[in-house]
Amino acid sequence: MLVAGEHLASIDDVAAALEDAGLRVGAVMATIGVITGVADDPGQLAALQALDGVASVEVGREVRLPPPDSPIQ
Amino acid sequence: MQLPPDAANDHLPGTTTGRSLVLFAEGAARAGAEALVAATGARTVALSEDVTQPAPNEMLLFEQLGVAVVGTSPQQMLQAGVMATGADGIVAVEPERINHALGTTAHAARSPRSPEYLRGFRDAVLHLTSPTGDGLVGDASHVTPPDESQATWGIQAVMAVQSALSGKGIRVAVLDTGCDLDHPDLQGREITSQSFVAGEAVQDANGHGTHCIGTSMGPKRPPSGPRYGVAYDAEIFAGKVLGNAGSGSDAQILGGIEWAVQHGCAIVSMSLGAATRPGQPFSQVFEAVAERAQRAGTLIIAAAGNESNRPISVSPVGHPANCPSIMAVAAIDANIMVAPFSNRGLSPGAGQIDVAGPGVDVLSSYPMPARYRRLSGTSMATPHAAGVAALLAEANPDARGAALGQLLTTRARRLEHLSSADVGAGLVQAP
Repeated sequence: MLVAGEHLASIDDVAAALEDAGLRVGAVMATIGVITGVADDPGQLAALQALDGVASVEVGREVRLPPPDSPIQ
Repeated sequence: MQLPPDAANDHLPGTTTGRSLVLFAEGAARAGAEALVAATGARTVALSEDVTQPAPNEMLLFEQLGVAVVGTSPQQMLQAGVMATGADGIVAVEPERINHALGTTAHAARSPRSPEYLRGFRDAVLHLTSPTGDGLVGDASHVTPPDESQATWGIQAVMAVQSALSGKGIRVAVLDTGCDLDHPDLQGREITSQSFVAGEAVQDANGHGTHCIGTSMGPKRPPSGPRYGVAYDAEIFAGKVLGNAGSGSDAQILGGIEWAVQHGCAIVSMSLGAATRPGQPFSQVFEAVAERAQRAGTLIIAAAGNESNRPISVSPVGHPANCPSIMAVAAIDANIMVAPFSNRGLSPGAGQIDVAGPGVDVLSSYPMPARYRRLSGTSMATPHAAGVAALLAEANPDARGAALGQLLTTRARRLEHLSSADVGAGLVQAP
């Protein structure tokens, strides 16, 4: 789960609020204004989105390279 | 087919010779030449030691190539009733140019009247009139291989050979599978590294990261082989955001971006991505991050993706390159044609291609014992753009973030025979 914050100065407060709302916070990246974490219940997404200081919430993606022996990388 | 707009102009001293190149349809060289003779009264002459260019009333015919060099200007040809309608077997008429695409040791091979130059002209026009109409697909079968004795074709194509710049003082972060910190070509270079993959060290056991670092910042004079790096004196920041198995999460990538911005990296190069479906919106989170990074002086450059299989199918720009504030890089080959796998900006609302870079048959460093490897991909085009951005950053100390991105696009070489949906502003060029 990725969170882009609007209120960067108080990102730690936002992280605390997310924890209270059920997000297991992984990393708090103050420079780029993102908090990552794991939510056990996907239904929590909307609730997290509604928190003060949260601009957007997204489900994290995975990127993957082709196998090393592939000529196209 | 109409004459190209500049063919109707008068001779431009310094850029054109005042003569014309004429392309005949396949198998129609003889008939086309006869039509030309009938229209212009030109006399056919043969290329020889004494005759290397046609006089005004003469025509040099290269029958096997299907091309003629005529001693009159395209304007005069038009007045004589010679038009590239295809009717007389004449497919195209163009002014004979003096300038060459690559001003390197390959110069002699690219002089206007050499068979190689004419082959290139023929191939460029053939692709323009190709029935696929889908933006030109690279086909290496017509053209002789580039001269890579001094520098790879990609280093030549971005004009790094002629540049006096090295990327000195510019920090470039390559977020990838890490770096082979023991690579002989990187000994003596200061490398700052950090792993964002739990349980894995920065040491690159995959190869992809080492290849991209080599392309963007490899040495000016490698111990063996041609030069393959653009910004040979830039400061290397190797962020491992992809595991040795080649995958990584958004969270790991964001951690790498955070680290790069915190360390004052002017450029972040990301040869990674995830496929997108047509119509899929870009990540708001990555867009916000990219905007913030720009404001902090960091420009993020990412690969457009390799899901396409032109001309059968073309896929949209992948994540996260599809974010407006991330520069998306497409791949071209040594014939300056779009690579078959290179994605496209499919619609105005979707992710767009910003620039293009060399991305086919790219030689660069690879973990030992292989030491070097040739790879293709928008992954290879991206570090070319990142290296060029580093040189631009060095030359323009006040240009950072979005301003650096604007320099990268405005200084790109327009590729008029290709669509901007495929190559954006064009091929990145070193200052």
